[in-house]
Amino acid sequence: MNILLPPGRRLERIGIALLIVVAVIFPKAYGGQDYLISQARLVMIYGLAAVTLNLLVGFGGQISLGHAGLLAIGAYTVPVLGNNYNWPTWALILAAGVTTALVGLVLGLPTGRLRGHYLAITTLGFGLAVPELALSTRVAPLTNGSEGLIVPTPTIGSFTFDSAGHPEAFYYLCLVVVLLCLLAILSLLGSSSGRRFMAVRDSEDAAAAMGINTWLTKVVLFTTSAFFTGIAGALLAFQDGVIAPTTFPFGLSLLFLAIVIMGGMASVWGSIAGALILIVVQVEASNQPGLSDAIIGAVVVLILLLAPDGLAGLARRLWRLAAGLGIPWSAGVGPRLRRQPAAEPPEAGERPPVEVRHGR
Amino acid sequence: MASGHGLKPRTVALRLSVVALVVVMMSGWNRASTSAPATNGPGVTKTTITFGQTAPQSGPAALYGESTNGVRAYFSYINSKGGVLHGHKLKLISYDDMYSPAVSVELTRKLVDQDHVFAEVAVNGSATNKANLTIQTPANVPLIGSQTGASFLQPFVKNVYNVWPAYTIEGKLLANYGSKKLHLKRIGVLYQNDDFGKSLLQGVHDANITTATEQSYEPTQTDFSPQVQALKSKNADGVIILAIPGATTAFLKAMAAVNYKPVRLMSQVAAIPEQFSLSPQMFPGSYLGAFVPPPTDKKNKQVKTFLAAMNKYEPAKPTSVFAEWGWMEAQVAVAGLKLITGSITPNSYENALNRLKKFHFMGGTISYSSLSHLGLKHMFMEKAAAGKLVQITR
Amino acid sequence: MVDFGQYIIHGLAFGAIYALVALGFNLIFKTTGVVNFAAGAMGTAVTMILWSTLDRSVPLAAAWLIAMAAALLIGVLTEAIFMQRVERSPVLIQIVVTLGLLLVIEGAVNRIWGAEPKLIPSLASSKALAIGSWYTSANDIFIMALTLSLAGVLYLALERTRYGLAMRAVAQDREVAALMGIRSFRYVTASWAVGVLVAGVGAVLFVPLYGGGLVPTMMDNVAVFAFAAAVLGGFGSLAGAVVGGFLIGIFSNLVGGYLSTDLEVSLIFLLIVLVLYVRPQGLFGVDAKTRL
Repeated sequence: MNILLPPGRRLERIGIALLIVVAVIFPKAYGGQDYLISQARLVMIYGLAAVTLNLLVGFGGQISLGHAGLLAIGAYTVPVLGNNYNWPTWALILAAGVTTALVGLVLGLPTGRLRGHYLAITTLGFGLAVPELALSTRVAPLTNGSEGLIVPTPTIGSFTFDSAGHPEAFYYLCLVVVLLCLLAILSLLGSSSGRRFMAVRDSEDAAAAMGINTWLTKVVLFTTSAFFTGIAGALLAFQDGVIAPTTFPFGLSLLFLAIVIMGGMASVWGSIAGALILIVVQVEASNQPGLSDAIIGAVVVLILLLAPDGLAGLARRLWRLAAGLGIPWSAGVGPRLRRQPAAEPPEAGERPPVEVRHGR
Repeated sequence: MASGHGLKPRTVALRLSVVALVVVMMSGWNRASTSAPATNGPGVTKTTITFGQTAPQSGPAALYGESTNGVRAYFSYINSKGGVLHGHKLKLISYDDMYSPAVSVELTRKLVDQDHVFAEVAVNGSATNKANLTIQTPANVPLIGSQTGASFLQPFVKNVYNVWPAYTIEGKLLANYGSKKLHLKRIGVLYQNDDFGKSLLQGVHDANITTATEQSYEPTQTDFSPQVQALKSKNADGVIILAIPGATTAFLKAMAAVNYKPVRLMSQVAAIPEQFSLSPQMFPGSYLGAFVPPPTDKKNKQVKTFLAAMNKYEPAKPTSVFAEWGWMEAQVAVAGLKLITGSITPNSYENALNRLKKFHFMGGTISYSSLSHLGLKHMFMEKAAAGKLVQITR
Repeated sequence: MVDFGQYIIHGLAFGAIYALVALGFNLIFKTTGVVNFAAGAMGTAVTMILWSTLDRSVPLAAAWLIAMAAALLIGVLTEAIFMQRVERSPVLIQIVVTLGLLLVIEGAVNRIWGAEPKLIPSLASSKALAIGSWYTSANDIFIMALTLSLAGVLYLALERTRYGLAMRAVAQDREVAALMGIRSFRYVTASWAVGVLVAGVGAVLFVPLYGGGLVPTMMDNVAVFAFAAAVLGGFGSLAGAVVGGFLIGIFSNLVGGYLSTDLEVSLIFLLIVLVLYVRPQGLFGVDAKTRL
């Protein structure tokens, strides 16, 4: 349990513990409201996908604009294998992870040498190429082109977990899988591999000087991130019941990026929190016909404008504003905030105060 | 991103998300207490019946979303005459699914679980409809007029009532007209690489003609010269174009660019008025399959009513063939409503629809039974003359 | 052989459009280090504005002027309101801001102008012109000539004028340029304005070229190919944008013709990966270590 709750301020640990508790009791509190439970499942699934992206971007210092492409590989693996062979659900989920990991490996090999905008556009191309391939006539025998594939219902033994018929059971299945993945990811980050990722992120030259094989580290990073992305993709396939190339547009990759940035780079729980916020935004935005994408884009731009240094800067400014206006309790909090950084050691995974900048 | 002083982004995000959670939970509590089951079905109150719809309003398939305007116009028209079933007024809740099955299935969940719609009408797309069925069928939500002629809905799904002809019918019509009436010897085909295009292509095959070549294209494609080259090199004297409007126009332009003008036979989907100004060289003289009369045919009584209603209730919205689709699907939906006896529930609605026989509407005549929910069985041909579409066969 | 030649000719015409859009954001990238992912959507917005003025019976020349002025304005506003705030932020943040703008602009265009295809007249005749057994048109040739001329003008402006020199200084190192007395801010704004202008020209020319009518999503595919062109040619290189654009135009047409049009994006992606593997800075790009 210690792995899940990071060391540090009590408030954070309470917040995360509260989140987990709420996640566990949510379906019971809202039994019968299939739509809300379904949205909650999406939060978990998108949250996991955002965490895997964060692994790549926040902890690994890479850029990826094509995360939806990796998700698509994991998602398609489930019906392609599940409809043709009678594999148990857990095997399908694992297979999705492995397949996507292999693709991540192949992707990581050449792109590991790229940086900045070159990496951005290459990953963008990947993210667009995957749905296009799924749509193409050459691959259609496998992926059924535009009509998409029906996903077999998840089962354990004789008990079915499908998202339409047994929403609560499927919710708990997702919760278990997601928590297991988070556990694995967090322990990985705490291990020597995790430290290698971050060393390469902070300064490739320094890492190389320390004897780290930077290229190999990056390849391992891509592969590991892809593995868990595949698992998220499998859950998404079960959640939707039918997947098609149009399930993975570019906007989805952008959504994950937005979640990662908002929640905080190099923060696993931040990504989960970011997913919650943006899904709520998306739900509200879907009431506006034709504008839901635009609203998400606007929210993202606004947040990045008001807080280009993350939500921390925004909060800092808000507190200062409140203190300036003479609101009693904020004044109490304000000075305490300013004192805190000195007292607190940097978290595992947080950048050290001094940044090594590359080039410009 | 240096964290420096102050709260870490993670903390702030966590706090915000707890707030968001609380907000969600509070709003959730509210809704839980107001869902009131009635002796009537969901979506029915003493004065209203609510239908749901998902259709693309943005993205490459946004034109199909014009069907929403047609449905709304028809509902307003019926409401102005006093509504149905002793004064029930019709309401429509429509969401933009951006042509994505993932989005569509969540919106359908919302329509069923939160908005408690009575039935759905004019839902667009093949993959989207396929995904939505996983929600609609277990919940027994009647769906009238799914906008796809795909085979998984033929001939009978308990809660789905087709209005459109099966896609195969149009393909067969175009192929037969080209080979038998126009005596074309080497017919080429351009088809969209999705279920719409491929089912139409299947219809072409059903007509037992030998095609010179079959070229597929992607919905987002903008450059058609490869397909034109392929058709030209096979000396096709006619081409069957199974494509959406934008693609059709771009394809026509690509043909004009190399001075290639075979006989052109098109799917109804391409029949928008803009074609005349967008392709002044190549569109006139083309033949089109159709199952609704062209919106410019003011002599047709059904079209006249449609145009008047659109003008009154949905002014400034395009009176395109897509709006006509919505209109006629709403016509069938309402015809079924009028046959309901007793309480208004999904089951009584389905029973009523199964009793619908020889209903005359914009698309012609339609009948359902408890064994067949097939849509229109007949289509006709139009020709693009100077500035308008003219019906040339019955 | 006839086919092959036709694919090349056609590819050059479309490639010119890719080159224009790539030119637009290479210019912006040169001075600010930011890739304007919203370039395509901005071009579409400019074209919609052109259409609206034409729709009110404004003569073509005046309509073009208005649209180009709008393009400059969009560029200036984007830089002032959005990009300035994030210019010290990491690359990823800047990228996501332009991506967010892409969604907002496309959504706004969809809402304001709707999805029905609209007509934009071409500046030269689109009638098929036969050259031997191949076809082109006056419009095709005009577009290619315009692209090369614009590229040439930009090149001369950057290399041979004082202002160009100042812009290159700002591009290389903004702080040092400021220390030397150059008002960096002006040049950054100017490059955004001209960058969007060039992309706008590309979009307006694209409508009559591809023939499918002006719709909100028109430039989506073009933008992807233009990005590929910029990567291929090397970011920040004007020559690279032009050469890259034409190459991508030809390559995609050949792939579409000989293999299948549904493989174009995948194979272009593969091409990029291969080229970058051998030459990570693109064909004409500056060495990766000094320009990131």
